[in-house]
Amino acid sequence: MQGDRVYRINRPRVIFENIEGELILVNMEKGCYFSTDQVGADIWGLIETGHSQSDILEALRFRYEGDAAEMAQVVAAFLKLLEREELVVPDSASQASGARRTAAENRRSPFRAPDLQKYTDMRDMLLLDPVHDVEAAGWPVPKVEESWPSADAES
Amino acid sequence: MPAPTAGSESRPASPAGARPADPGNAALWPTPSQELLLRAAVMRGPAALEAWRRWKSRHDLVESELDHGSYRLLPLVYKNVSALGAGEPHLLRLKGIYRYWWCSNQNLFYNGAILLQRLHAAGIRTMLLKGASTSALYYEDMGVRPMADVDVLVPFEQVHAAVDCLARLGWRAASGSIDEEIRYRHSTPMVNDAGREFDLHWHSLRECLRADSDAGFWRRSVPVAMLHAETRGLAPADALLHTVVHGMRWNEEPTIRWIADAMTILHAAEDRIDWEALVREACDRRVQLRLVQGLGYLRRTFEAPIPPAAWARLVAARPSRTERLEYRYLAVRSDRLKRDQVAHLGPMLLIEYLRVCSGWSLRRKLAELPAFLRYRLRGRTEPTIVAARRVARWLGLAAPGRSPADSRGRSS
Repeated sequence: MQGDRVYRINRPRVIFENIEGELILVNMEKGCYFSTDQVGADIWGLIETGHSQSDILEALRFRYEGDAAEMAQVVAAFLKLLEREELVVPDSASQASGARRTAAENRRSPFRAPDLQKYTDMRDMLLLDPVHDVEAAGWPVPKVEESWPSADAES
Repeated sequence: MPAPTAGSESRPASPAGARPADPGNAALWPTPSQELLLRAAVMRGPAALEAWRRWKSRHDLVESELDHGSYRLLPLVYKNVSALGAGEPHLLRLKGIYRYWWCSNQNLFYNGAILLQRLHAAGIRTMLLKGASTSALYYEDMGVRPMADVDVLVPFEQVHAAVDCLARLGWRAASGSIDEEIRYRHSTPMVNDAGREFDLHWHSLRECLRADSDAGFWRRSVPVAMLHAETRGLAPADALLHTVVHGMRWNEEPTIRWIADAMTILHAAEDRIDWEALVREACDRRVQLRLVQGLGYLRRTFEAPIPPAAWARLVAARPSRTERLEYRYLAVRSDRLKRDQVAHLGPMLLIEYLRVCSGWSLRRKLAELPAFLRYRLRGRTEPTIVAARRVARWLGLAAPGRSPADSRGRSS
């Protein structure tokens, strides 16, 4: 059954770190850098601990408030995206462990679909000066060069 | 990469409380601004925040031109300051700098891990030195400590096997001639056709070149993983010794990173430092003077937790005459102009040779001196040296060639 699919992190190709709620992931073979938000980081943490798709969904329902059907759809789509980017791979060998219910019902946050930002060429990104060549949001968001006014505009 | 500038800020004559008898050693120590940033990076609680606020009042992260040393502290400043919950307008930019170095370091580690596995498959033991080891064992964070490359130590008796193994994998010494490097130095940069680089060490410190110099380091080494590759790293006392002695050396720009590394080791492994081993190694290796100067600075300036008994033992040992001369010529300010003067170069080479030939018989010391001088003076263009080389060549003592050994200055 699709809902019981278990994924595992595509180690050792994929390296990741949680920096104050923001999860950054790098696929070292493809040289791609990804960044995701708190919801994405939560899903990743559940994958890391061997939870099946249905367990992930159950755990998220305890942490977030939202429409159950919509959450199921979003989680399925996010897992497929992670698989397509080769950040996770299906793991038929693993036994799913039970969902973690870490948040009390009355402290749930509103559920938002996780955002997965992708930067495709880490080699180019590492050529950026992380102080001066980036927007205020910080590396790896490159500074958008201000365009010069056109001749028409000047006249 | 950004282009931080050489610090133009005037340096104090000596660090707070440093011996005034060390004339001209100012370039060993951080500038006042670097010291503030170091405090923001390594102190705990309000002292770090106070230093950060004072540094910010003098510098604009984006507009100011930072020196390399300061720039490379920023990821650690980010981690320390953000953990203290400081409101900071540039926090996102600082976080970006941390992300940058995390990614850059992971790139190094990923390729380094593959390299280690190949060496291990060939039966060669390895140990990580400097940034890679300190990050994994003491910072326990792969983004706070910027690195340009990884440093891999192999046992001295396995260095030729390691070089052969690396050659089969497409690695070669950047200098082109590794035999002389092995004879006279402690490490050499290795490169491959993909443009990757790492430093191969057969000795951990350039001052200690005896075949058994690192026996204690290997014996006390601790397990460490570079991503998926298991290897060894320096035990806390040895890591502290290595960090201080390697860092306490004059540089065009003070290599202030050793201060953050040493303070991190002291804080992270305070209860695990074998002070007996530290004092013994420092004396055996004849690097006690530099260790005392470095740790003394950390005690005075950063309240480094050094047990009084260990400190007393360390300062009680009298450094040898060679060590005092070495400190004077190699560690204290010796800018390029001074280094190029024959009057300065002569004693420097003599002291270096005394380290190289430590443990040799007198006959061997004399016999190998010409070859050492040929190696060290190759490529030098000072008129006196050029003239001396012509005479030596005429006498059949010198061979034409060039060594890049003098152009090294990188560190990780």
